[in-house]
Amino acid sequence: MNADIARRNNVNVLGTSGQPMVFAHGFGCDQNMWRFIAPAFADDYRLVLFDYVGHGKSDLTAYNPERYRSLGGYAEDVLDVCHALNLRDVVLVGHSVSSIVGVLAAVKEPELFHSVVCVSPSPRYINDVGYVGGFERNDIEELLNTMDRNYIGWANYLAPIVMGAPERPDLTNELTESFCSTDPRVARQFAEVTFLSDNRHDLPKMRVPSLILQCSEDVIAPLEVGRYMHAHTPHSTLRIMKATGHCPHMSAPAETITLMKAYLAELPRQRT
Amino acid sequence: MDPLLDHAPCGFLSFDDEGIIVRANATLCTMLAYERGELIGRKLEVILSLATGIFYQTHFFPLLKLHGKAEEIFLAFRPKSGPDLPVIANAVRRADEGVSDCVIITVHQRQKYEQEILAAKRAAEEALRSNEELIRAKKELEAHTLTLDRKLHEVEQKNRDLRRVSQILFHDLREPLRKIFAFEKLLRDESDLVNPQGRAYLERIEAASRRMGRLLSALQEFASVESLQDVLGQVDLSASVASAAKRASLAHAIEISYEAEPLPCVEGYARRLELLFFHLFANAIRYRRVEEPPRVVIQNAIVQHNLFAALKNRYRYVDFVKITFRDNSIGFDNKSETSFQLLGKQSEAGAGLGTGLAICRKVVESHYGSISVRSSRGSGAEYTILLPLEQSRDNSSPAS
Repeated sequence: MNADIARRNNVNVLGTSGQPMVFAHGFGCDQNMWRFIAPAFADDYRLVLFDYVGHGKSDLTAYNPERYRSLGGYAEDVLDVCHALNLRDVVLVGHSVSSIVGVLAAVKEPELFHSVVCVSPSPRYINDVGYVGGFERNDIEELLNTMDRNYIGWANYLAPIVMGAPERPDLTNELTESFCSTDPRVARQFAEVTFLSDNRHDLPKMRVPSLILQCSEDVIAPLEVGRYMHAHTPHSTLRIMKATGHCPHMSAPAETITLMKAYLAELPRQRT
Repeated sequence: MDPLLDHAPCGFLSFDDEGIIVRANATLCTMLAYERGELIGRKLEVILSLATGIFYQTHFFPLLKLHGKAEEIFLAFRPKSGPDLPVIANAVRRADEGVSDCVIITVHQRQKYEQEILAAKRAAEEALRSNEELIRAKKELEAHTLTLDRKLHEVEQKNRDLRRVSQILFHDLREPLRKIFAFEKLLRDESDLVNPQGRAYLERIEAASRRMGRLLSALQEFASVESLQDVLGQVDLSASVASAAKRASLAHAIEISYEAEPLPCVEGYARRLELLFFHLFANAIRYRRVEEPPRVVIQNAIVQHNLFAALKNRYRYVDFVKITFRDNSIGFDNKSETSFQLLGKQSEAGAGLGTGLAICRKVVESHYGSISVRSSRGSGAEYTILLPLEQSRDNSSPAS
């Protein structure tokens, strides 16, 4: 493996053989968010988890505002990880904005991917003429403001987490570092890129099969958005979940796992 | 509910992992101007501003679910009527029940201070950052200016040398070669001057001279790409492909068929781009299999790609067209670097002299794009070409 990329993106690989399944975390967290569903695939897949640069335990010094000004920079992270591990026939699982990052990566190098699983995706969050995204621009401004407010002393705020298990400082230190910690500067730019971008025109370019997991009540990606994704993405399958909210992989891991397994079982193991 | 908790001087709220409200104390109901019955069983989003709704899904809930608690979180609650309420919330999740309990305190006064502090902090950060950026930019600029000057100087010098070398290659070297041919022919015609042994030597002289002539022609063809009369404009790649296929078929007297999705228009040099496809088609014909007619499949997609090619840590993602050109030729052992080298791939048959792919690379790179190939003996070749849809505005001519 290319050690630079492995360190830069805090790449963790579970298993040595089998078809690779790469997990791309969404906005607001890091690879930890996959811990309720990833183990369910450990027997059949080689699991690859990573943090985007600036998130979790990635190398913060590698953050380049110019590169991460567009989702293309994030897609480059995904492709870098795939190339560093020399992966082929990848099942890419992306949450929220990472579904779209996954689409961008799969459009750019379709030969690397077997399929893309989109958990709560949205190609555009802001309403437009003839398009329901769910938000107006000032809602997004307010979100950025809320984030700023909660990052006053965000680092201090994370500190009490260490208190969880004082008898095991080794463990707790790790937790502090790894728990969904994002540099405020990075988080803010990621929020802007995520919520202000419009990737509707990229959907029709998809050649790789995709599964869209749409929650039945999701304020961030409403039902109309899931339907739009499905209608405009070739070779896509839409599954409306019983789960509500935006994070079914955390709130309803069992249903998420079942739907993913059912979908993957129907696809040929190797793309031709 | 315990009356002390019900009327405590703070809001108290319980909700499950699905975000359904299961408990709300009287203080909270008063704060939000709801009857308790209107809240129990409803989604949390009912009492959150839209932005707080997003923040709840992306930060607050993951924090509770993964860590079990969240402290001093700033949120905006949305009462039944009136403006949003700024609040601070502490929450603990009881994992056995999957229910989170949350204490809520309004922060009207603090909110003003905090906003002022935030504004000041942002202004200070912004000033600091622009200052740092300016200093860095200035340093980079100074360093780059000198590098640029030296590179320009080098390029001018190399261009001058190259022009002179080309001149020698195409004119001065042709003349002695012609003389060798002429005298070789004279000698051969004078049958009494040479014995059979000498005649065999003469044939080898002729073969070597012909090869030299072909090499000179190949070099000339490569160099002539730059002297093509061509202006920058919108180029319909579908038209370039169609005309290149026709020309390649004519040149080799073998019909080549291809299928292509509609290709986009790109800004570029029409004659050069046609030359690019011409050589790819020509290779597909030249190295065709004996058992089937040459055939090509062309696919394309618009992708985001970094425009910076040489400078590290510089990024500008713009639209590129990614073209995949796949032929059914006999293929070759994949050594991508040498394949595109001038005279790098010399076929045993001597049919191609390894200028085609070098010309392709030259054309693509003069458009700030890239070309690569994947192939193995017996399985055809697949070329991947990346071309920016637009040429940079501040460059009026391609790098040549």
